[in-house]
Amino acid sequence: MALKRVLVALGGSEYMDSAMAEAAQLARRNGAEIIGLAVMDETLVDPVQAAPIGGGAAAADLREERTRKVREGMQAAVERFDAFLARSGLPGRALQIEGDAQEAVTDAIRLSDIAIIGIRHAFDYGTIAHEDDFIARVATASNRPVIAMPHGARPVSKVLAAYDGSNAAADALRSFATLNAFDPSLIRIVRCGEDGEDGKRDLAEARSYLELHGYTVETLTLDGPPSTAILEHASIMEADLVVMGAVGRRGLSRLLAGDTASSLLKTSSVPLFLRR
Amino acid sequence: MTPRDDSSPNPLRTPTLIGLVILALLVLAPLVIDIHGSTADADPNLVMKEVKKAAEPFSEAAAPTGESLTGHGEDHGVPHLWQLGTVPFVLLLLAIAVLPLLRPTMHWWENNTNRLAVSMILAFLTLAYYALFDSPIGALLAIEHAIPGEYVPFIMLLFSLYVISGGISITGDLKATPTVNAGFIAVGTLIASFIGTTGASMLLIRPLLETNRERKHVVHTVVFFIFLVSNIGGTLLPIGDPPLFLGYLRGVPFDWTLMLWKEWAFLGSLLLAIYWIWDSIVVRRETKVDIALDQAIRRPLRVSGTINMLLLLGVVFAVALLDPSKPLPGTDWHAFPFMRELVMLGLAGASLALTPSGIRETNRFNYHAIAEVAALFVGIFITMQVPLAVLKANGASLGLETAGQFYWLTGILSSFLDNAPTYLVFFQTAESLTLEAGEGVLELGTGEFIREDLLVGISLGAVFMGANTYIGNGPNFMVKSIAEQSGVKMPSFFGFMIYSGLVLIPCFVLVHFLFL
Repeated sequence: MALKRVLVALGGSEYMDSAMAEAAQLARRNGAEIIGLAVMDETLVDPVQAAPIGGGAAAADLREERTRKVREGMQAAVERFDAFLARSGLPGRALQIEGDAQEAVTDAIRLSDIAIIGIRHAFDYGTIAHEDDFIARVATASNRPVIAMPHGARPVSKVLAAYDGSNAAADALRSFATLNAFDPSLIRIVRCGEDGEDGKRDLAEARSYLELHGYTVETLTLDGPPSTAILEHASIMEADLVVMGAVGRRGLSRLLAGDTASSLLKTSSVPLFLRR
Repeated sequence: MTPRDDSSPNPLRTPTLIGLVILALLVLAPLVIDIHGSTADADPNLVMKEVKKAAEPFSEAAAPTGESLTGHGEDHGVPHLWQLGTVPFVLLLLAIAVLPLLRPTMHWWENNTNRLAVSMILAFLTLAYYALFDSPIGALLAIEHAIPGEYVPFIMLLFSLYVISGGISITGDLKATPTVNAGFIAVGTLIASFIGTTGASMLLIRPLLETNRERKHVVHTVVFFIFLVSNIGGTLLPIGDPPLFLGYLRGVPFDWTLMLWKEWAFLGSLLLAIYWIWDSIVVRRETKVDIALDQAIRRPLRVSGTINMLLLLGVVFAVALLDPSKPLPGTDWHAFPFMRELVMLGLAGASLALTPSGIRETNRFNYHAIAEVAALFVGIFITMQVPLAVLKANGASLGLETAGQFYWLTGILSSFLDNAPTYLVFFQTAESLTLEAGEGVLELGTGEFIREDLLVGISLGAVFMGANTYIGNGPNFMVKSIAEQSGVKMPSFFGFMIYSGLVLIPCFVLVHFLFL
């Protein structure tokens, strides 16, 4: 499997430049084209909201103000992307869509191999932002690998893969291996929690699979809750990418059980490779 | 900003339409009054009594004897098939609540002409109900009760306050300390009773946001502003909050609400103290750079359009003195019908003529909000006639007895529905509980009676608890929108309710135990 089309979100935020740089890096290595996607998200710009009697005009004013800001922001983002493409000489084009951002990305990613999105503030263009788990929801809904980019794109050499034996985690590993888009010198598979039999078996399984794909692999069990332990270890080993499954828990189960991917999206300064 | 034709301060278009409707109904009013014969001269309150007398035979005749649940004598009757008759009212409340929440209808509903159409159709259905199940005269009586009796004075007051306070502008940028911020909120709480919560909110929110522009933690300031200036501040006069004005129209003396000063002062100072402590903690989290910027960027407060303050005072006097049912204090002269409304209209006209140009533009003044209120309340007042008649007859059998029950029920409903109709519903219920004069009973200008402790509960519930949600009161949402436009990330609907749940509800419980 090869990577031939990279989708990059032109979210307009501070993370957009590193998302574009990461996309360029992948596109160069794999001979792929880049599709830039800018979305005017009506769920953000024009949210459905209750208003008291007499408040309708205030709601309309607010919407117009936001729409204006978002249009300006989209325009600027597309111009930045076009200039970036021209500079880099890579093939690609920009898409502008109006509608729900999650649907737009899910739709555009159907015939792409990977999506790269600035880790926070996707498509808000300076207005109200999506919840921090927007990217996890995109990964869950689209069934494609998604990279959440913080600041600073760099060549991927060391990879940390979080593996808990779940389907999502397995899918993430398989997706990373078959896509073969990166050329890491080391993949360290980590598991959080007790060092029991099940854990050892999970790690061995994952290791043998990645070794079949020709990677250099290490395994390790970490102490502490995954949401903090993974990022701590990523910074210790100076990982360039964290690979993990996105469960995309919603509502009550998320409140109770938590969602590692979502909490990492809030705080991570390392790129996250997510897959349902 | 792309200019919007319809947001300019040009009073044409939708407002004209609304004005025409009002005018048409006003013209209709004298016709209706004629149906009572010669005894009903044009005094609206006298007319109301006449309405009741005139209405009796019809409703008595219409109500099957078995269904008559009247608790106290033959004074009142439940309209025949009243369940059917209340449907338009319920539909209108549902339309107001639900249509903005559905993506296919939300934009359609934003147009005031469409709102007016829905409101008028439902009003028409109510009148058709009266005509079919009561009598054609019953329908006319309902119009008379709703339009000249309540809608016209209500909308004229709101319109004049809206226009006049929209002509005042306060600009400036002070140092955003906890004391300065609390000072803004305190001033708003003090003036809200005299210029209305909407006017006070619109007047002060912009300079408050400007003052706090360099700070990062501003949300709690806006939230407390909504609590106090947009709601609780308006407790003291019928001008402060629309439901209190409806009580005044139903015969509560103008100065009766001043009695609520203890509750107002208690809750106001408690919340201001909480705010001051909160802001004193939060201000330490601001960065040194932001604080330095705030120090450096300052402009003294400047008030323009001060002529409008005199005009606002004129509105206060018009409402206090020109009550057609009472002689002007110290004389035996009665104001003629609608004199009060004409005076208020004149004051609004004077404001439009005398306000220096530019002020309304900086306030981004337009008629959308007041047109929305005017469009919806035509329907609310007419469709309400049936549920009010039912409550008049059956209110006593609802099992509500204590001031606390009235306080919380009025309050909870006012948190999610408009507080004006909510107030009327419970006012009517309390009236039906009070049959005669006695200790702690207020005699209303209409000759009816109401227990004062219940009226206190209803008034406090309606005014205070509108602060619980963004939809509890019109200015809440306007303040939220203006804050968001100037870059404050205001909490979501439920996020705001966390603030009110943690701060306001415990304070309301305290008010209950200390005062009710």
